[in-house]
Amino acid sequence: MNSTYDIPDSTDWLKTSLSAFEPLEAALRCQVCKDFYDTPMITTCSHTFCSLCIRRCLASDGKCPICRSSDQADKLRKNGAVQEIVDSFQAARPAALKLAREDVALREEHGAPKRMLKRKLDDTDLEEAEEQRPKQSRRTRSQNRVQDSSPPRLEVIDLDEDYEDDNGLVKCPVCNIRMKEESIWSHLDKCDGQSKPSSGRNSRSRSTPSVTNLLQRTPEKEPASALARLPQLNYSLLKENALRKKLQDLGIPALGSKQLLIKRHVEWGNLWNSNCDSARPRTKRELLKDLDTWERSQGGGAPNPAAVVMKKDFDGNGWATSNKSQFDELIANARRKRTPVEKVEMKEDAVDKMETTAAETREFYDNSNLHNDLRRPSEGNEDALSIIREKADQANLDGLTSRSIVNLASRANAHVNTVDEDVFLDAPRDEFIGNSLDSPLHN
Amino acid sequence: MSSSRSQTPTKRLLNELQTYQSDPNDALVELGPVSDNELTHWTAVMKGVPGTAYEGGRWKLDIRIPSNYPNAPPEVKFVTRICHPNVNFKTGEICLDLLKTSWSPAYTITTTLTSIQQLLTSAEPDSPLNVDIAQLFRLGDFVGAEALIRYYTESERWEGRQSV
Ligand SMILES: [Zn+2]
Ligand SMILES: [Zn+2]
Ligand SMILES: [Zn+2]
Repeated sequence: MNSTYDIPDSTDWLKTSLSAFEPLEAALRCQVCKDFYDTPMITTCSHTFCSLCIRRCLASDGKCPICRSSDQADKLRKNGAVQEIVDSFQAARPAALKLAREDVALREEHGAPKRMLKRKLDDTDLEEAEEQRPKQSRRTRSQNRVQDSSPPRLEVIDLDEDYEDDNGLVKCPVCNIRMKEESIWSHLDKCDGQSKPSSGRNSRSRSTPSVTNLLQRTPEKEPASALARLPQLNYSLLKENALRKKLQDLGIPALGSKQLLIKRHVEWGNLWNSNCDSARPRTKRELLKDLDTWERSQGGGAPNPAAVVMKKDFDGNGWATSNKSQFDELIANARRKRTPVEKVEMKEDAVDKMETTAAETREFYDNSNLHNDLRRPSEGNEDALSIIREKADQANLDGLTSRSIVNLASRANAHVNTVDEDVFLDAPRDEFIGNSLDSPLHN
Repeated sequence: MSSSRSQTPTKRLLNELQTYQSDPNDALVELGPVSDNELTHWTAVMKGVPGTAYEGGRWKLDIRIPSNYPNAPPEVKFVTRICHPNVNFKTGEICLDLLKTSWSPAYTITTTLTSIQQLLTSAEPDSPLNVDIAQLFRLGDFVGAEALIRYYTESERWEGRQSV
């Protein structure tokens, strides 16, 4: 488990002694962002999503992402119970996961027979806690609400305290703050790339759910006093200048084409209204920062068909280039864990790799010789098709079963070979995508 | 859990990657970003469904993820040539509702690839991208179609790395 980064994910439970927690955690995650629900809202079709996620979906196609029924943003209602569950689950998660992993590690290390393990399990606090839970759950929860002046530990960036082992901490590639590795992925969500202490502290206090807040619907305290939701506009009825004026009045950038103004207004509505839903609303300034990030990710506001080069977007995310190598490391570590070992290997595997590669290369050449005999472009398939069809008809007449088709096909191929001249286009097949697009046209 | 979430696919993609790593997809041999600095460009190797004409096949797919993912679908193409009524033999373009009009943000890269694998068992010859094979289907020449499919499944098989 040691120094690999861990993206918190419901599948974390799979190989632990608490694998039944996998579906539980999955149920606490939004189907759109795959993260824990943040300000969960329920639709008229009774599906739940993060406020911002569902608002963006409805703004983009007006449909529920799960059942595809139509819905409107102003019909959304808070799902306070789910928020409470998520907060509590997240608070309990690190300790529970740790225990559940240790159980398994123990089993592996000592090859402990089942019975021993069972006894071991019985001894843990977890088991006890589980037994006691039913009786007191309700009371405990309300007690927590009152007592819990020291906020839950989870998601908290450990700047300095109680982590004796410095090596256990990892640095955020964006702001350079050190934290527990479990915290980093959720932190990256909030990290504004602004370096260092002050903003780090801010996001920290934001990220610790103060449970009492949950009781109030839309707290009037904290940021702006006017937390009224923005109405939707009928853009087609609005002249460009009137729209521009609206944006100015809202205090958001008012430059650009009408198309861009509309997109910006929609996104501002999403950000603003989901912030109104939130039990922990943020300031307008923070929202403006989000809008700016969004704006940059849109590549200058161009509507974004899938073809746009993503590098641009990537930089736009605020991943400073100077931190790129560290980010690469995060990915690399994630990839190292990929099940069928990938071809891009880590250094430590290099030697191993070279051997395999050599073997693979030999095999590959063997294969490719073989294939050169067989392969041809399919365009202008006519000949091949007619021959195969002929054979197939023949086969039908002969009453052959489909088992002999393979045979048949290869016989047909033999014919085709003599007919078709342009053989072997892609001599060495390498894994490069650009290369393998070679079509008969490139011949 | 503040809601400061920029609408960029980075976080979600990392999450999907992690999920795939600990809970792989039976339809796939491999899946992941092409390189370390392009999280929005993935590649996959898909298996053929046993018991069909595509049995034993291996196809490489190219996956481009738009900046407004998951609100917009990924762009998925076959890199390895495949003989299928709804796939363009030359460009690898796939005709599948899911990748266009009926996309939902609740889908993921792996569920999308599963759907593409399912397309292999349920072609729609009425909106063909490969006229030749679609024609065989329409003529009811299933034996001929199957032979042709098996032929290309075998001869074009992706051999980039030995499968597991
Ligand atoms: Zn969400
Ligand atoms: Zn629904
Ligand atoms: Zn940070």
